[in-house]
Amino acid sequence: MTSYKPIKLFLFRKLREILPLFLIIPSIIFLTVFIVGSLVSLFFYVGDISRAFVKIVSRVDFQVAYLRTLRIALIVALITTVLAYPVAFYVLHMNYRARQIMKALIWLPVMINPIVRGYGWMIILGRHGLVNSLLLTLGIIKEPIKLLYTEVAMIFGLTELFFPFMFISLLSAMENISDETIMAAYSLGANTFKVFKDVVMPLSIKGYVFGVTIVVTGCSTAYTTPTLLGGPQNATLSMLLADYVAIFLDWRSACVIALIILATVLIVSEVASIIVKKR
Amino acid sequence: MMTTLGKILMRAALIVVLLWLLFPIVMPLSIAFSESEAIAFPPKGFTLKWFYNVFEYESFVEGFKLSTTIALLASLIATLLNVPVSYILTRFNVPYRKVIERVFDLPILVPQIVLSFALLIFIVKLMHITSFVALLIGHIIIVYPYAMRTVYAGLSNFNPEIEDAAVSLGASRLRAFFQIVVPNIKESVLGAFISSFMISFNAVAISLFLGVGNVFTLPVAMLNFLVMKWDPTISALSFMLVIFTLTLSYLSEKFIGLAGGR
Repeated sequence: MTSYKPIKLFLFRKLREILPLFLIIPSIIFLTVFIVGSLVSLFFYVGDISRAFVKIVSRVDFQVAYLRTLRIALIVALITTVLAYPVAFYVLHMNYRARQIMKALIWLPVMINPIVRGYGWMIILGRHGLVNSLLLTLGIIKEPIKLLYTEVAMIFGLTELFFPFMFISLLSAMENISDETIMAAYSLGANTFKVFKDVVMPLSIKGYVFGVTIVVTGCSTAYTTPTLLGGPQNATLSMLLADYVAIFLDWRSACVIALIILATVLIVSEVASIIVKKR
Repeated sequence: MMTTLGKILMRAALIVVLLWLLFPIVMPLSIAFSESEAIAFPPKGFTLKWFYNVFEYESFVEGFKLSTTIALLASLIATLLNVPVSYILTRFNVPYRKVIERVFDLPILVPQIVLSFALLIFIVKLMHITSFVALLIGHIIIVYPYAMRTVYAGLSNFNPEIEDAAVSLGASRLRAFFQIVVPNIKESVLGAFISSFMISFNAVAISLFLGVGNVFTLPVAMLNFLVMKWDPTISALSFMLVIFTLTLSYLSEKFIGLAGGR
């Protein structure tokens, strides 16, 4: 049987080509089973979903937390926008070494333990903290003002955490604009502001949308920083979810809150990707 | 080239940002040696007693052990699972590529707080998996995308023709992988391992939800401590953690930098 051997060899080769593809399978099974499985089990655990949904949505604590979460996320997005554009543009003009140092410094808050960061803000904003003792010594205030456990404290902490993401997305978008384009604008007589407004900003819009998506979704789902700086009276959605699990022991409502958080995040990312595709 | 006013404004923005971002990291360090019992600024005197306190507080010691164990195992498993995946996705024409890439986006798409609670219901309540294993599964999922990003980048930067040359000279794909590819991507794999370790070590929400019973990772123990009382013990611990983080991120930067520079 001479004609049999090549076919066998062919099949053997084909098999050896396909075989490595199976190495993807453990990861796929692991991630799909646990992520999709657990999300599906949220639906099963609720039981009558429409009733549970109406129950939680009509509660005042939920409405307040939802609005507070969105409000904080939007304010942080605004602050990071206003600060990240000039800073990224400035860092873009630095030499390679200085730029690397700036990137590492600005990225640092993301690497640091969130509790250490939150605790740092407690020392700054607390009753006997840095800001209060400074204002007291200067005679601006008579007694300590309440800064910690307010929305302002949460905004400070979340801005620290999410600024780096906005900065890195903007900077990498700006780095992708060719030097010639910027040089051309300068040599045609544009000043820094004009170059920034008419060249850099429109060409980095995708990076901006990407950055703002991370900031908004990140702020709406952050847990540790808002818990440490906002305190129980300023609950966000994530904190409310944890409360329903650990304090109220109402897991059905917690499931609905989890699904609402997930839906909100998915809608924001979907809208962002539509905007990016249209450009 | 830049106008003076624009330059001043941009420099001001940079200073504001650096203060805003770095001050809260420096503050805990500044009062770690303070003799004052209360958390107050400015610090008074000099003492090392808060550092002794850290080691005498059992939750911190046990939490550190648990966090390190979980972080080591989770990063090791995530990196090992990921290396073949990144290798195949960068080298082969995979059928249903779009769908497969969607699966690897899942851990980023689903917020950690939602995933934590969903996993609590799925693996602890419905599957009755023990807390330690549940915690490990959760941590593998949250570090997976970070491991993948670094390994994938390392493999994309490695020229596949070198490997093809080895295969055409008679090496099997497997041998080419271990003798040619692995030595060339080991920095990115190490970088992936270190950054995954950091992500896992610092994760709060996932450990809070899945660590039922008396299983507290270090961040959870710290969170509980801060809710109960305020004293500079936590400053001393913060001091050590910041040094720990800086060392690890320096190492990971070095490895990823090396791998990226290729």
